[in-house]
Amino acid sequence: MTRNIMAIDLDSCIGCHSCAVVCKQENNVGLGTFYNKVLTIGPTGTYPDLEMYYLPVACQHCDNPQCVDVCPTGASYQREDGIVLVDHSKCIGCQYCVMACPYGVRTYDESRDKGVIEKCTLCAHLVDAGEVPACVRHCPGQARFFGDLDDPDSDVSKLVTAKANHKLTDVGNHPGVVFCMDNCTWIGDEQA
Amino acid sequence: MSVQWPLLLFSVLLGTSSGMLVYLGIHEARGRRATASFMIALTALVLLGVGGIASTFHLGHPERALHIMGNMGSGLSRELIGVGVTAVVTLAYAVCVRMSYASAAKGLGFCAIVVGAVLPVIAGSSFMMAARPTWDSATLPLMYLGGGLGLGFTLAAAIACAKGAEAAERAFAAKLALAGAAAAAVTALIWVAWVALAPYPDASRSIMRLAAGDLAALFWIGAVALGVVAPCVLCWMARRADAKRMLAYVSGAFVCLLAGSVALRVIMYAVATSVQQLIY
Repeated sequence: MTRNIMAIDLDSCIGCHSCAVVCKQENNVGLGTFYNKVLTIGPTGTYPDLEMYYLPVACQHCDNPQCVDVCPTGASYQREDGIVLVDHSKCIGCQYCVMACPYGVRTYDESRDKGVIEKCTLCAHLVDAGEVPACVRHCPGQARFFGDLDDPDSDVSKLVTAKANHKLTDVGNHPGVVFCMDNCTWIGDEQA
Repeated sequence: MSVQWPLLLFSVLLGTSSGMLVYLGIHEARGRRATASFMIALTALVLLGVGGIASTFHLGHPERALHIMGNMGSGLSRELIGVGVTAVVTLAYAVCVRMSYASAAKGLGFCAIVVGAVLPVIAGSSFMMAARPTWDSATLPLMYLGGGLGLGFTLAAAIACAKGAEAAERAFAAKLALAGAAAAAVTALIWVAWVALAPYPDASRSIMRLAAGDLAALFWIGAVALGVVAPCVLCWMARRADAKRMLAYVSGAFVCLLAGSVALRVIMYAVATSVQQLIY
């Protein structure tokens, strides 16, 4: 069974924010709204032993998405390949999914399509056309990978196997995005 | 999280309405219908309706509200059904009282106790989300229930008192009001204790924000003094007061509980930070 996930090699991320910019272009994301953002973690430690890394964050397309559970209309749903999407024609803008998301990566968009919830779609329209998400294609550091984790020959599987894996805090939602990093100390959460 | 005023108003009015239903049901169960029971039921229905209308202001697309039945596992869907059932029971009870159908009113009185106790729990449990540690506890629906009993009992007692309830009924109503105020106080404090014990501790949702931080004034004056101490004291004083004073005491207790409930819910939203607030 196909299990498409995003894996990000934090050792290769240069913090250029290209992924955030191209995401806005590809998905026509309105002003003040972000599907994807790059955070700077650190510096931590004591001089001269300092560490800093960049953490690109977006919807984690969780295995057990809480946003889908609380959505009263079924507007938030998960496809068979694991991508979590919002059907804007069903969304009533109740914002319960925003509350249920542990990561603050969903937003209530009042600017473009007023009154509905916006979030990363993993560029499902490109995935359906056999392509990869725009942030993966345009990452100059080649830090982002997208593919089938159940396929041992996929780039995603190779990266996940090669490096230490980390995930955002799991409160039962089982986040799908894997952060791979060997060169810095992962801050905040348990090993995946 | 910013205060969601439509939801806040909805929960306070829903709680008041539910508490009034339980008040009516208890009187029916005792075999002595409450004075002004029709008016109390009607007030409960109006409050529920106003609360329901207020909640739609939270929605981006209220015209799609029928889609709410799309996921019956969602707390919001259960809440909508609960509100519908409660409205039907309240309306049926009011009609039976108006038409003097005593046995039907008594039966509906038992139903009123059940729906009046269950609805605030459903409403509170819809906020139980693992992403928000201060909400993810049964203490939250318990707080909704206790607050609702306090609000509903004091308002119903005030209406009965104003409408000329006899001394024996007033004495019982004052006891109920005191019990409601005590339930509101205890359940509020239990939820505050949960805030102190919740997992994934963080300064944004720490008990110190309430005790001595930016929420201290709201907590000590609004939630504690007005929401806990004043209603209990006023309802205690109402037990042996004459009709006029009792009306003043229970009305005062209701107003204090109202202010306390709003303050507690503002705090509830203020400490509802998620485990990892990354973009928004």
